[in-house]
Amino acid sequence: MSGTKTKILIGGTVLIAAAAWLGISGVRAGASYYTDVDTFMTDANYQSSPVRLHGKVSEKGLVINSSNTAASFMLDGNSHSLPVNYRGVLPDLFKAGCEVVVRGRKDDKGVFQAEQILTKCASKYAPEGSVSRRPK
Amino acid sequence: MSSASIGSYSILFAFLAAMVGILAAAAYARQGAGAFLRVCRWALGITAGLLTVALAALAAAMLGDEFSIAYVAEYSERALRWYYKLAAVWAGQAGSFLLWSWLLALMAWLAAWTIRKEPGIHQAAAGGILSAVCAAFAALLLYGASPFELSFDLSKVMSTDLSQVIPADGQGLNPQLQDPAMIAHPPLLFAGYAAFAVPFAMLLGALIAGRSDNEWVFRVRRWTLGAWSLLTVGIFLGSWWAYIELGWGGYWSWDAVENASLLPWLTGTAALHSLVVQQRRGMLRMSNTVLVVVTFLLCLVGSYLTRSGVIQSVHAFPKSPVGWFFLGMIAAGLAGAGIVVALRLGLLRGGPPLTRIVSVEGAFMADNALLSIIAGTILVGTIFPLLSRPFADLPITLDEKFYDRVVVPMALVLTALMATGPLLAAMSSSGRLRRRLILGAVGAVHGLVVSVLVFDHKAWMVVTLAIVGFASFLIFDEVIRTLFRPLLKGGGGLAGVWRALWANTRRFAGLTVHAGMLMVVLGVAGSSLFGVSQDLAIEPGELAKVAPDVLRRGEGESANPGEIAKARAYTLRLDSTEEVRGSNYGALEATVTVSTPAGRTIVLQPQRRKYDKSSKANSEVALRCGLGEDLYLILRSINEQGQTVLTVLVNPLVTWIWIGSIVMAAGGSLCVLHRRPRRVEPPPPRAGREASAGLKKKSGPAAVAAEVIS
Repeated sequence: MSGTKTKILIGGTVLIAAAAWLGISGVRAGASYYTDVDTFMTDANYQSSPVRLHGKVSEKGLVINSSNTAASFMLDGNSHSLPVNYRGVLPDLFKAGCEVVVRGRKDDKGVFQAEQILTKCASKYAPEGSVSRRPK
Repeated sequence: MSSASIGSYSILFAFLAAMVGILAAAAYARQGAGAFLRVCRWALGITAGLLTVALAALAAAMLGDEFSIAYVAEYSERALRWYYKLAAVWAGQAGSFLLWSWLLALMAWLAAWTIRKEPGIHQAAAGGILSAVCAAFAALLLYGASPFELSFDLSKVMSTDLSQVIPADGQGLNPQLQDPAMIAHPPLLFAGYAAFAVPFAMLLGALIAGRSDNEWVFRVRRWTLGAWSLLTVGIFLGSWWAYIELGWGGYWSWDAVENASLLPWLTGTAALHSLVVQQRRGMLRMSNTVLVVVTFLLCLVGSYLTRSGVIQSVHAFPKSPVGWFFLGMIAAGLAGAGIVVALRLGLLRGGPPLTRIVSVEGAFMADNALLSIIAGTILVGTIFPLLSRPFADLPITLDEKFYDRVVVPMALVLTALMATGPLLAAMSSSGRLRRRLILGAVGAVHGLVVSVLVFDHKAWMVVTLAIVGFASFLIFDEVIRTLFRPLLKGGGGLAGVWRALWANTRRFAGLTVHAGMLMVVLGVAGSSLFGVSQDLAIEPGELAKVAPDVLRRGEGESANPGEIAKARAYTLRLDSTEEVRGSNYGALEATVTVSTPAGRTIVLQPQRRKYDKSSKANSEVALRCGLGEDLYLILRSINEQGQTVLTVLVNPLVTWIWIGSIVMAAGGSLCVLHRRPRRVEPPPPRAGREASAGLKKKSGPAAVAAEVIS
């Protein structure tokens, strides 16, 4: 093997190793399970893990503070519901009956503390969703 | 004849015309008669013409409020302004595919026309591939997502008056799409996707024709550049739209649909760099082939992932069979390209080998590798829920922390690699190399000083500004030396500058794109590391101060008033909050007078709109863009105490992202205009003088470097 080829091989290996290391640390930082409310409530394995939960904002019990920057609500699945607390700017499309994906984890009192809410409306192709994050 | 009939028949005949194109290409391959090539070209022209008619029919239906067409009833309404009615043509899935197909057919026709002097088999292969792609898209419109379906069941209403079943008004356009950026964003994005089909077809055509020369590479690169420039503007407009319309102050959320547009952009960037090396030196043939093929396929992969329902996205799509169409196209493209590559392996492995790692070609290889790894990482991140299924009971998703941690460092390394370009170009002269190294170091020191004085020496910003400083000083030096040297030496005045510009179009285009890239890097770093927000609840006539530096230190509301009074701050006075009425919406509008830290007074009017055809309220932010920072106002509500609740964001340097994107696209477009170098050039009449103007023709690696990465 020529010297240049060896150098390319070494360079490529270093690059891929660095990318793999970054990738693994990135997965550790940014991974969360994605599931629905029913599966989450019935499976004890994921209760303490960071998750993204898909569900519907219940028509009852939705409380949004007057500045539209915090909400507590029940997230409904087909057979289960989960109380959710969120502090942060709410997405424009957030309202009772709307489909959402919440990211966060359940606290000791059984309340899901959401750090992000994504709203979702399945009726149209175009970017209907909007993202909201808790200010850092 | 109704618009629906005209549109449907046009698409059907466009499909048939594209099939004729495929047959004509096959017939040429069998019989070699030149007439078949003309038939193929004409077939592509007719496909383009018929799809133009279909698109015009849909636009006419939108403007004429023809709610008998389901698509029009779903995406438009009578009260919609005419330009949003036009934008509603591509607001839905079926319409956006019609737009994509139309752009594809136009570009395919143009491409077939531009290669009419190439060898016949090359023309036939490229024309056949383009016809096949056009036919696949027309089939998608016919059987997967038709924009001309009726809004009622015709068989059930034969005996009834049609006016009773046709909706009196449409459901209206999604309020968030009623924005000027949304008029232009989809056409430009789809034009980029469509144009990437051309280099794919031309390159595979050249391989099928067994061409061992590199004369054709010029065209492949030119089309890649054009597609890349269109995609750049398309992505920029999408980000701009997210910034001003979604009301959360950000412009990129690493969503699957956004990632889908970035993937071909990244591999396209790699391709347009290394195609130069193939054009000049005949090297990197295999990697160029892979990059061009993958770039086109990634345009389809994005659509497959987001429209098949396999990936969750905040962009919602109706369930339809279009995912299968895209999967079929990807599989066919991959299989076809794989067979061609396997058959032409000898040709692709030819070409001179790389002799030195630290060289222009070596840098291009590293550039290819880095861009491919970044694209691969983003693809893995996007499809991680699918990949994780065999290893976990539940799908695992990756959020922005993953991308921040993985993509940001690699993007910085890539920027650093870009900054070394001028050094590699100067390798042949130790004096010039030393001079450039010193100049770059001076630039880096400037960057470090700015990062410490202005940006609290945050580590990521220190590194970013050092790299940006290094690279920008070298780019500036290159521009000045090449462009203004004739002027400084008294050679030809402004005409000399003009001549130098035209003689070095490609080099300047490269420099312009790189300068734009640095601006984008600066904007992303500034806005993501130093953006701050504050919620305010104020009454009319009341004043509030927003001090970005105090907020940035994390003190926020806990800071004492004395400190805020002394700090650099925006003073906001709420003048009024009142109900206003637009053409198809009612809104709560706050009028806020702002005194900027620079002492200027401006009036901003954020709104919270409620569109007549929508049940949800929608923020219409008020924005004051500045080169240093943006002031971004969101109206939330009126609280129980009667106060107006506003969120104020201060986003530093974000404007540079938009300026940089436009500069990049302008550079790319400038390079498209670059004329093909003539094969035999007459000796220059006044060699000495023209050499000083940068007109002297160079060859070899130095020329490649000088033209692209200087």
